[in-house]
Parts: sequence; structure tokens; C-alpha cells
Amino acid sequence: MPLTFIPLATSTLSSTATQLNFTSISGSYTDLFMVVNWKSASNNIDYPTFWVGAGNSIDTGSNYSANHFEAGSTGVAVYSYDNATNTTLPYGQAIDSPNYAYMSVWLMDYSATNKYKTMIADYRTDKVNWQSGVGTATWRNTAAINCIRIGQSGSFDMAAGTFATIWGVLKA
Amino acid sequence: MAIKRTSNNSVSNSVKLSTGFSSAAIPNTPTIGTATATSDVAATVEYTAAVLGATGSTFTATSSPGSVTGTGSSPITVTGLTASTAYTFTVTAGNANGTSSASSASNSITTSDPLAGFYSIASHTFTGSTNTITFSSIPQIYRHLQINITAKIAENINSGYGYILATINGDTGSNYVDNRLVGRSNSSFAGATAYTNSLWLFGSAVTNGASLNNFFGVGYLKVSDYTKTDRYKEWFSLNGLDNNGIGESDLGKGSTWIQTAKWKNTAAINSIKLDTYDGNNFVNGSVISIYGII
Repeated sequence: MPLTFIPLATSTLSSTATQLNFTSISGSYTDLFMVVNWKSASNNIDYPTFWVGAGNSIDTGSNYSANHFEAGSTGVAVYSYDNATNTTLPYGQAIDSPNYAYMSVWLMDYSATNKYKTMIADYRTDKVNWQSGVGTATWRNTAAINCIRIGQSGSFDMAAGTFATIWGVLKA
Repeated sequence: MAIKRTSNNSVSNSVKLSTGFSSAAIPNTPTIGTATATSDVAATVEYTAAVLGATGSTFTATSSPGSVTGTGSSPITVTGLTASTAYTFTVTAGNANGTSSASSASNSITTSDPLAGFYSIASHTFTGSTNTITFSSIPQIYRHLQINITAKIAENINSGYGYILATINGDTGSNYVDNRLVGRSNSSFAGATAYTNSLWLFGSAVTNGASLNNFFGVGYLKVSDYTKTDRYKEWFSLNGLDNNGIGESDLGKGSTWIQTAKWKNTAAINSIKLDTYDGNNFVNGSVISIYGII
């Protein structure tokens, strides 16, 4: 009875950076699970964002859509993005140390070639304006995902200490 | 021993030992030795090959129950056993002419409890016309269950919402409670809804239509303490879909659901049936997998 939740990679920013990338992700698993601890390096409100791609080529085209809802300090809100250029699921903030935003994401059937790729996430942050939320996003491409990029929607850097871990989940 | 007189009064001995050996014979049955559990999924089985008779080239240990096999020299390692389960083993010897009868059964061993982790129990990829999948005989060795779903149902968004229905242990009675929090794509907020005395619904997630090819809904549901017999069973799920704004309703265009539910029964869960609420089929390529968590 082998374990089926396999750690694939962890990446931690040792200094500020605009991107955190995972490439050459094996297609041997059924689903991917990713946990992100994220913090902006700027004082501007910004959004943790991620992109996916095939053939180690990140897709920055308008091939994403997402919806999410959240409870926050200003109430409850629902957001929807069509034909977006990334998957902005959570509402992030410029968070000061030691406050990091948390996000976990399931990328279901990520290596299939007969369907668009849909992912589902939960997230929270409690600095500036706190939010707890969940969301669903779709990448309109039937290619197998083998690379993931984490960044933010603006042009600011992510702070050092931002990290992400990816697991592969096998099926029976 | 035959003694034959030859010429010149010399005597030669012509000796033939009756060993039962024949070049066309199968090996004699090996003698079982000690079986030892070495992990949650493996054991070793010792044996002694028969001294007499044809030589065995392959020795196979077979478990009972399960008929899980391992081959090699003594001790044979058998992997693929089930955790926390009692086993005995027999050993056979084989060569090009056949296989011996099985040895007597070994001592009984019990594999250890599984290590903490996330284990795959079963998975089903839909390839035909069906609207149901049942995971039965769910092992009772885990603490929690998780079911991951990537699914699409062959129905028009105007006629249904793509619900997936869960039935536990075949119970179709009014023994379920379900409440949901739903966010819709058009920025309206559905809010929380409670359903009582109805079968538990997994949630939205799937729609159909020419412009919706390749879109699938996803989600996971967790069942806590599914083997406990002193409590009702609690479920949690997070699921959703996003159709890039395509669809007849804001719910179908995109929505994310949080659900909690309860099966009002203290029995251990050993079977979970998932089928479509409207009876329409799962689209090929839908995948539902069940995992055990310790």
C-alpha cells in the first residue's frame, strides 16, 4: 500500500522576485496539490496570481477564467473573470512580516489531454483587509500541464520567504 | 544394487539409485518455513526445497486471503498485502514441466497498521454510458476518506445543474442533512441554504452544450471518521466550475460551492455510490478517485 501523496518540489524565494517557477512537472500523477505562502514586497495592494503551461512554456494569453467568493472585513463578495490572462483567485494584500497569505490549490486531472484544466482553491489572509475565500479557475487548453508560475498581478515583487510546495497524487 | 558377473571372473557393480527423478518430472512440494510480517504491506516467507526429486527453478509464495504472490529464493518477499490484515502463506515449486502441489500453510502473520499518509483506494475513469459509480468494500483501516472529482454530465444547462448525488451504504432513506454556501459568477451571492431529510448532493460542477466542450467541474469531498460507530458521519466538500462566462445561468457559467453534510447513521461507511441527480450520464473522461487518509 504505497503512499500516493508524493512531494514533488518546494521553492522558496531567498530574495524578492517577480516569479517563482516550477517546470518539467511529471505527468505521472492524477492530480496536483499546491500550497503557497505568499507575501508582496511592495506596500501596494496586489494579488497572488498563478499561471500554468505545457511543454515548459507558461501561457500568458487570455485563456483563463475564474470565479471566487470570500468573506472579509468589508463583507461578502463574489468575483468573476472571463478571458483573463492569469488565474487571480485570491484577493491578496501587501502583507508585512510575519504575515503571509495562504493558498492551497487542487489542479485536477492536470495531465489529461481531453479536457480543459480546472483548479479549485481556498485562501486566506488577515492583514490590512482580511479575507477567507474559495475559488474555481479554468485554463482553456487541453494540453497536459507541466509548468506552473506563481507571481502577482501587478509588476511588484514577491517578498523573500514566499514559498510554494507541489505534491503529486496518484490514483489506484 | 545389482551385481553382475563378467568375463574373467571380474565383477562389476551396476548401481542404480531409485530417487524418483525423471527429467520430465515436476518438483516435489517444498516444506513451508516461517512467515514474518515486515511492514504494513509486505511479508517474508521461508521454505525448504525438497531434497529429492526434480529441481525446482521457481518458488512462489501465495497469500491467503488475497492470493497475493511473490517469487524468489527463501525467504520470499511478498508485497502488495493489505495493512492490518492476517495472512498465511503456502509455497509451490515449479520448473519447465509444471508446478508442485502447495505446501502446508505457514504460521499466521498480521501486517502492521499503515503509516500516516494519503492512500489511493480506487479510481474510476468514465469511458462508457453510465451515470453511476459505486465504491464498495471500502477498507476500514483509514481515519478519513477523500474523494476527488473531475466530472462533466451530459445534460443541457437549461435542464439541470449537474448535481452529483451521494448514497452511503445503500441508504436511500431520509437520513441526510446538507447545507451549502455558493458563490455565483455574476457577482450575485447565493448565500447559505440548508436541506434536510434529503439525499446528500455533491454539488454543481458539470454542464453540457456545444460551446462547453472540454469544460469540466472539479471538487473534493472529505468524510471524517468514517469507521467510527459512535457518531453520525460528517462530510465537507469544496467544488466548482468555471465556463469562462458561457452558459445559460450564472450558476452554470461559474460557481464555487462549500458544502457540509451529515449522514445520520452511526454505522461505519463501507460503500459510497455517486450518481447523477438527473440520471444523465457522466461524460467520457470524467474521473472519480477515492483515497484513505491516516
